[in-house]
Formats: sequence, C-alpha cells, structure tokens
Amino acid sequence: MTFEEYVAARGPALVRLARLLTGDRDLAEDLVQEVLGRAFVRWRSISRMDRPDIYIRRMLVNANTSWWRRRSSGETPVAAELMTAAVDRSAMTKRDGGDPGNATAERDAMWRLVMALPERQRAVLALRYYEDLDDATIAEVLGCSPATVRTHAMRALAALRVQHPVTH
Amino acid sequence: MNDVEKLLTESLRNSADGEVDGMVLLERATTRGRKFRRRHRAWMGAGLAVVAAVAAGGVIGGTHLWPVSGNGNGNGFDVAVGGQPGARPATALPEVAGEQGASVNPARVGADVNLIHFDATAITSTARHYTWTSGKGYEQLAAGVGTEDLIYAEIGPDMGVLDGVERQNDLGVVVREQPVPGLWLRVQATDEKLARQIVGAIELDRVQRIVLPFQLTGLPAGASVVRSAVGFDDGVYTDGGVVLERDGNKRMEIQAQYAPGQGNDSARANHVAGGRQAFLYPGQDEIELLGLRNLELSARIGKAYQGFTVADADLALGGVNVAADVTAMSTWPKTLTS
Repeated sequence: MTFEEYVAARGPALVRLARLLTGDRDLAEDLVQEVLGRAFVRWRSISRMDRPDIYIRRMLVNANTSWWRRRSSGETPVAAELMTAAVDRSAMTKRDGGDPGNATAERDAMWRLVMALPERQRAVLALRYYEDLDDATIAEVLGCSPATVRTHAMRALAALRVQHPVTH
Repeated sequence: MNDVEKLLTESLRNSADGEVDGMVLLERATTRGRKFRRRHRAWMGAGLAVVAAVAAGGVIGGTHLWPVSGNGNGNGFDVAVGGQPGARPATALPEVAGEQGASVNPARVGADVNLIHFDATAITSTARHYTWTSGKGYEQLAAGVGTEDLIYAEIGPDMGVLDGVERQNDLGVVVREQPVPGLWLRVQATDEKLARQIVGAIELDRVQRIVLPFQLTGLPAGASVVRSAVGFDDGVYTDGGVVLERDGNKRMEIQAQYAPGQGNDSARANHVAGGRQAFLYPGQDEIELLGLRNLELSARIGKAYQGFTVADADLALGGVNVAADVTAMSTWPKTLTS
C-alpha cells in the first residue's frame, strides 16, 4: 500500500480519532498532519509492518500525549470545572424530561465528562467504544498490558457513572 | 452494553463525526513529510561532517566521543556510541556493588528478579519514557526515544527465551548479538541504524537493583516473585509491580500506578484487605488499596492472572509497605520484599 492509498483509506478515520483524543477539531487535524508527515518519511519500513495502522495509531496517541502535556499548562479547563458544568447540565436535562433536545444535551454532558478524564483513560474509551478495538489491540496501541487497559476502562466508566446519572 | 456505555458510544460518535477533506489532509501531510525529510538530510550532512572530523583525528568537546546524530528517521535521538555513557538520570535505579555485571557472569542474568545486570544511560538519560523488567531468564529495557520511536533491549543466556519476551513484535528490525560467550543481546527498533545505536549504548558492566514505591512483607504460601518491572515517564515514576507465581502456572500481579491527586478515596471502600480499606472490583479479579497518596496499588488475580484467591491478595496487600512519597525515590523501600 502506498502512502497516498493509506491516507485516502485511513486518514479521515485518524482525524476522527484525533478529535476524541484532543477534544478540538483544529488541533486534531494538525496532529494527524504531523503524525502522517512523520510516517511519510519512513513509509517504506512502516508499510512492511504486519499492521501499520496499529503503529500509526500508536504514533497518534503518543503525539497527543506530548501535546496534551504542553497544553496542560493552563489552556485546558480544570477537571473539576468540567465535572461541575456537566453535572449541572445533566440535572437540567433531567428537569426538562421529554424535551426533544434532551438526548443531545445528555450527549454533550457526557462528552464534557469524557474530556475531564485523565488523558490515558480517555484514549482507552475512544479506542474501545469508538474504534471498537479489543483490549489486546488497545494494549498494543498504548504500549501497555491488556490488564492495564481494563483497569483504565473500569476506572473511566466508574467515574462517568458517578458523575453522569443516566436519565432514560 | 449498559446505559452509560450506550450514551458514551453515542457521545463519542457525535463528537468525532464530521466531514474530513482527504485531499487536503494528504497534501498537508506530504508537505510536512518532505519538510521533515529535508531537515533529516541536513542533520545527516552535519553528522557526516562530524564523523569526517573524528576520522581525521579531531576531538569533540575535549573527549573522544563519537556522536551519531539521528536514527535515520530524523527524530532527533542521539546516542553516544562507543564513547562515554550518558549521565545517570534522576530516576536511575540504585547501583549494586559487589555483584558482577552481565559481561563477567552471564549466568546471573535473568536469575534474580531484584536485579538488572546492565545499564544504558545514553538511552535512559534522554528517553521520553522507559521501563526496566527482570524476569525468568531475561532482563529488559523498553524505552521511547527521540520523538516517537520505541525500542526494546533484552539480555539473557538463551536467545529462545529472549525471542519469547512480551513486547510489541511488529516493530521494525531485530538485531541479535552475542557480546560475550554465554550471553545474548536482542535489540528491536524501528530501523537497523537505530537498533545498532542501541546495541552500542548497552553497558554490560553495571548492575542495578529494581525498586518500587512499595514493598511486600508477606507472600501467600508457596508463592515467589518471578518478574518485576518499574517504569518512568519524563522523569516521573509511572507504574511498576511484581508478578507472583505458585506451582509454575498460578499467577498474581501486585502493581502500582502513579495517580496524582489520589488519596481521598476511602469512601469507595467495600472490602478490607489485611485490615486496610480496599475496593474489591465487581469481577472479584482485582483488589485496590485505598487512601494511598498519589498511588493506585492493587493486586490482580483474575483473567490474565489466575490461580490465586482474594484471601491471597488480601494477605499480600495487608502487609505491603508504601513509600512516603511516590515522587521521591529516596523514600522508596530499598528492596522488593522483606
């Protein structure tokens, strides 16, 4: 597979994954361009791997980690603020009962909670519930054990359950 | 899938969805790629000039150091090959006096889970993250170097054991060498040049002791520690632990992850482990000690680790000594067990 074929086939999916990792659409596109640019330089060796897509996703997660660290100096709202905002929103949607906008509001509230999770837990949720990868593959992407993946997922879900009482 | 998971899935889809212009993405990625390649070639040109100067008898910085810049990927990873090792990082493991290094006594490699019979300061002093592991028949360094590359270096008396060690196996190339009779070195990296740099950075005359921010004071009957690991990221402890084994096939892991802000979670307690407040996960496959400052410490007995009971985990967790400050290695216990 050529680099061009890979980007045509997988590029959009990488951008969507990056949107979940970064929480920012512009940053996501920039991150994917950066990662694919680095992959371009050594595409010959990457394309010979059994599963180049796993490797590229690993590059993406790692690149986001370093970006996330740089951004964490103050640009990102603190978790507690996001949690409070989300819970307030959730309580509001509960009061609204059958409002047709209720589902959208709940999804928004859930997204805010996801964004407040530690970066590693958020990556696990994105890979498991959006990319639909199994724990062994997620472990390969994150460079950890499947047990650690399960622990991250369990803790993330526990936090979401506590903070987001589902209203339907 | 329960309600929270369904809502989560919908929320993720909603947040990820939206048009992506594939042509623009390709164009910009290719442009950046060409820029990286130009920068890399400039680096390589500078590197060759340095090599020529050294070959002509030049001396760099007052030492006979031969720097090899870049790994073929332009990721900025530098290793001093065949020269002086790097400075030991702040998170360096304690050195062990009186124990012979791998090059002197290969038979000791992989025979004591408390020890690592090599070092690689040129790697650990610059790596983004790295993990030391000592297991049955092997000792391993896994590290993230440069901006994105992952490398593995293992030593042991049997190459068959080294080939079977847990790692990301679809990674680039493997270099196998026998530095001294009775000892094998296996390095896996994204390309051969980087792999050769890693081989050149391995120091087989140093011995280190694996330490963790906790120490086991009691082991379940018949159990012994068969593997230990400790990892650091950006100069901070990230995770580590030990694997206990009994009867050759029953395993339990005691592991601890750095968790900034953790400590006020005693309200979650639903279990007591050796007199300490704990959380027993619903699957009864993991027990976590609560109330530990900046640390998540748990015993895993299910799924990947099977054959031990909740009572075994309680015994191990009940007697564990925990470091006063996970971020200060000077406060950590000096040994894995007592």
